Amino acid sequence: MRSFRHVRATTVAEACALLAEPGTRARANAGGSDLLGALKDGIYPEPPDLLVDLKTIPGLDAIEADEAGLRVGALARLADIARSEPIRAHWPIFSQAAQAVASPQIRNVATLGGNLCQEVRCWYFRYPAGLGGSIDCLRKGGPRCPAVKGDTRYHAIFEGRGCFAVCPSDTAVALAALDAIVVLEGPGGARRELPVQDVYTPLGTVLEPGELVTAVRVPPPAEEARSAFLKFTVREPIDFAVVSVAASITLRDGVCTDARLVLGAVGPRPYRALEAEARLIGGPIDERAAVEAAEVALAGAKPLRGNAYKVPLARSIVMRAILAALEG
Amino acid sequence: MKREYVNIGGRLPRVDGMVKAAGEAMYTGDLSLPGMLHGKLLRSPHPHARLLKVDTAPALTLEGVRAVITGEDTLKFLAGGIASPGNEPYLAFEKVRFVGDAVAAVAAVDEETAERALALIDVEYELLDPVLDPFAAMAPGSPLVHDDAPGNISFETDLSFGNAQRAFATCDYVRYDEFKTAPIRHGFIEPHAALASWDTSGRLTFWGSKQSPYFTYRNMAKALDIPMSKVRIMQSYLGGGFGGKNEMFNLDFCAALLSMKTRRPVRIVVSQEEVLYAYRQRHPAWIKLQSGFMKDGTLVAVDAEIVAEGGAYKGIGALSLYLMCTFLALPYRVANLRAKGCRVYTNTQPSCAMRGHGVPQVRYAAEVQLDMAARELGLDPLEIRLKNAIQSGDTTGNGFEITSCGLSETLLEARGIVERWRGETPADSEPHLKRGIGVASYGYLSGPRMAGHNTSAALIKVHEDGRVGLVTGSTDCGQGSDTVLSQIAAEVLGIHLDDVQYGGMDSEIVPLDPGVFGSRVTFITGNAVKWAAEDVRAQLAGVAAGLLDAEPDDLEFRDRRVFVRDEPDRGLPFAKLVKSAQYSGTGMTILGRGYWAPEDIDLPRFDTGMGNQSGAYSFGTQVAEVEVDTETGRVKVLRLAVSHDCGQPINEMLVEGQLEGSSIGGIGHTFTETIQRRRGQTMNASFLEYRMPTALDACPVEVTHTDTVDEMGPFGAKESGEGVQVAVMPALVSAVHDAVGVWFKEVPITPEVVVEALGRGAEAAQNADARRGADARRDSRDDGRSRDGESA
Repeated sequence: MRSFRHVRATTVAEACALLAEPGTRARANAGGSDLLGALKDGIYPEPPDLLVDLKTIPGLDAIEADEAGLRVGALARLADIARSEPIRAHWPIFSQAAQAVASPQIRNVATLGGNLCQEVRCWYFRYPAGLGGSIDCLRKGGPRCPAVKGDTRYHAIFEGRGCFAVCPSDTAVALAALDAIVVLEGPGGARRELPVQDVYTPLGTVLEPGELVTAVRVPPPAEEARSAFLKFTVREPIDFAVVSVAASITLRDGVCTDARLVLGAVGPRPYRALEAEARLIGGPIDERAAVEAAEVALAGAKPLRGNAYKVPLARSIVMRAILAALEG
Repeated sequence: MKREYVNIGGRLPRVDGMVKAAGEAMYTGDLSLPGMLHGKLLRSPHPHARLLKVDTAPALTLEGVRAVITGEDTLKFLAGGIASPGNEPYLAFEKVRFVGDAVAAVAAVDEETAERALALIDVEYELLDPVLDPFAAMAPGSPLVHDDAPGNISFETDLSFGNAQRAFATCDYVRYDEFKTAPIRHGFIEPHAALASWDTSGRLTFWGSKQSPYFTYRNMAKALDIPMSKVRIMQSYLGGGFGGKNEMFNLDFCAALLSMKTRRPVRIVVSQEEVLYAYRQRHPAWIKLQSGFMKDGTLVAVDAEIVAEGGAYKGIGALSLYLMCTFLALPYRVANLRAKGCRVYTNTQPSCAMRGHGVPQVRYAAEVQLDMAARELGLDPLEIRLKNAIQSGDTTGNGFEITSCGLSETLLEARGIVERWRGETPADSEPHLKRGIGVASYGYLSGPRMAGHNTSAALIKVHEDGRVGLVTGSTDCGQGSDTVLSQIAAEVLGIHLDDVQYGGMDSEIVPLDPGVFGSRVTFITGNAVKWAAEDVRAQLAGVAAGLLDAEPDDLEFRDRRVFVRDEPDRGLPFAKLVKSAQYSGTGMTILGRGYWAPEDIDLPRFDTGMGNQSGAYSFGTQVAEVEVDTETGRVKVLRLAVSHDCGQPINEMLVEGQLEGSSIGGIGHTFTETIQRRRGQTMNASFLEYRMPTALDACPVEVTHTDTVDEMGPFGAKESGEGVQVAVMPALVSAVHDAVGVWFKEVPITPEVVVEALGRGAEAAQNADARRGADARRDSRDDGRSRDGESA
């Protein structure tokens, strides 16, 4: 591993300033469960020479819930989100998504900000340099994506452009279904707020140099909203999602008045199935409606050569999530 | 019938349990010596290349680097080889043959410096076309992995008895199928580790992580050209092996040579990633299988063509191929067999032994095909197995002599389990969840006869407080042999298990032993321990006879006492007897010595597969119940059961642990595990992406023992734990067929494979109908035959 400078930031402003330092390749680090693995594997063509530790910024791990909604600091650990009473009571799919990540050991260190901003798991992108050298790819500045003609079983079926890696975050999927807003802060007190799915681009995130995710805001849930988060993995625990779905459905007098259907691990960002949501709104939710909405949700899927199976798989998870939300 | 014992057969806790649970057990990577250097290996990034230049000078200039070695610094010893000389250099010279092949090694003051030094070694490669597929490798004009192996043929076995081709003409029913298995990993948790210390007397002391320390002992002496007696192999605990730690590896050699060069101790511990991409795998196999039956299910003839991908080197692959062929003759009677096997070189990591050693691949094919035939013939899968089950007293066409055999008993037991499970299994709770039950049987050996040295040995030292120390060269790689061997010594000497201290491996005193492979330890080393304990008992009985005025043969050793049989009061405590012997006028040193190997076992004929391989064969039947999610393709294993014949279990708890571990391992092989490669590179060299089952993927495993004893085995014991791995895959595949009506002829059966095979992509619209309550289970079973065929 290459040597690097390590600075413990004590304020967001300091962290942003350090991350924006000209001439340095700085990276923010919190729980380290993603970044340290990436560094050990040597996946970055130009490895960072400065790590800015965010854990030393006081107060950034707060979980606050009131009538105005939920506000979770970027340093809140996934384990704390999973067991937070207000989150479990009012935004249960956020708690479920946090609980669905990896293993207890990792949830005890991994943070919300890190889960949202982690690197993709594409096995070309993450191929360890020590195993005969890195694999060049578009995301690392190379000319092309090796996945397109390679093994794409875990790659995108929606919105891939150039790069076909999928957003690996589970919490992003649940948060997108909850209309969550991500708070970004940058150098010089810059601050902006974006819907969670707008944080991601096909080649990474919209974060500017020096910019940090500092918090997530979630509006209060609709009174009659019901929701479910389902994650399909190859093994029981540990694995990243092959497909995940967060569904949130509001029912008034048996009629759906609002719906969110968000698919995870199918594209570079949480994929909101807007047409399927529209199909659900205005009618009763039953098995037929769920099947039809699932059909609509996957209608626009563009599988690659090796991942056509993800389409029917995602369709059945969407359908199950809608039905699970009804029961939830 | 089984007999009653004090220390045998019960559920005694393992002797190494406490120190391992407490984290106190020291593995080789935990050891360090004063002045110790750290070693690292430079590995080829190319699957196939000629070495034009390896310039170590830049690395040597780095501060903290003490030595750098390449293939040119070695004596170019070639490791491996059974039936013919080996061809694997510990450091490459002339060519590299897979991504991960070792090119050079560095010793430095710390790991970071060694790592940095690797980057400074200047290697010039001339890239050669790689061969990455065994069939392409065999094609005319294909590049050669080894110049002296035309067609990239590593080894061939051609086993034949009866006349299969002629017999097929007499059969009522003949079927032909093609099967394929994936390359998989051993998955041990302790990575390969070596610590070597060379001194000026010319002695090399080596601590390793070895199933068979004496294999390393021999190869180390040859590779360094020093007398074997100058090699001292030490070892304490071993963190798993499963066949992947039999051989001496490049890190072992490099640690030793670097220590010779630097006169400092050198430790090399490879990373888990290195284990996963640069060491060993199970042979992937392509199996063309034809079997012929009579209407009543009698198996008449089998014809098999097996292609096994051997990877870059020979290793012990001849034995692997031999076992693949010969185990088509077991566990069913068959009068006509032809099995042609071909092990092929490719530019991938070398294949070697792994739990079941070649047999799981072919028996997966044979057991699944047997089930296919049973269904075509309208026979129950258990009935066709009972019809053909081998029996004690049989000799297979290639010469396996079956002494004790409880196979039929395990099948009858399995029938009860299947009936009970069918009764307990509720109707499918959801239309997309299909349940199914499958069975498969196995036979396995209790230690293969190898060419050359084959005898296990044991030494027992009696301490003056009446406790004993026991050593053998058979290491405990997690299977529990330290405990089993200690139990055997305790039983013979009439003392308690607590009274036996099992010692670590040290070639200075521990006698020559082949080590751990092929399920040989309980059966072969167990007998050696029994003999050593009997030697101790005879020496002590001589002394006790004088003290008690009795005949030695009339003495009984029990519960830490020695007494005249039927006169328990005429005796003395074991400890007092020991002291009397040691403290008498002339004094006695009580050391027991035992060595054993089964007599009249043939030397293996690797080319023809003929001859008796083992002194005893174990048997068993696996039952599996699965639930297939027909929409997502995910298969959940609900429960497993093993009815097995291991003779007399020495320790029921350890036997169960072995059977459970082996069964759960089979779940991974069937459903999730495979090595993904791209141009020779391993894409999933981590336990995150190489998906072995975790504890949460495990399921309950019911174990039932049969009432058999083996006359030759120690206290009637024979193999347990490795053999069952053979039957897990076919039982699970059969259960999946029972659930959804599709035969999968290629493993692993991952979700995408199931989804594609069930054609859900085209049928998704029908989900609605299915969900509205139509139970598709019956339908899919009935039309299963029309879907038979390749599994994507």
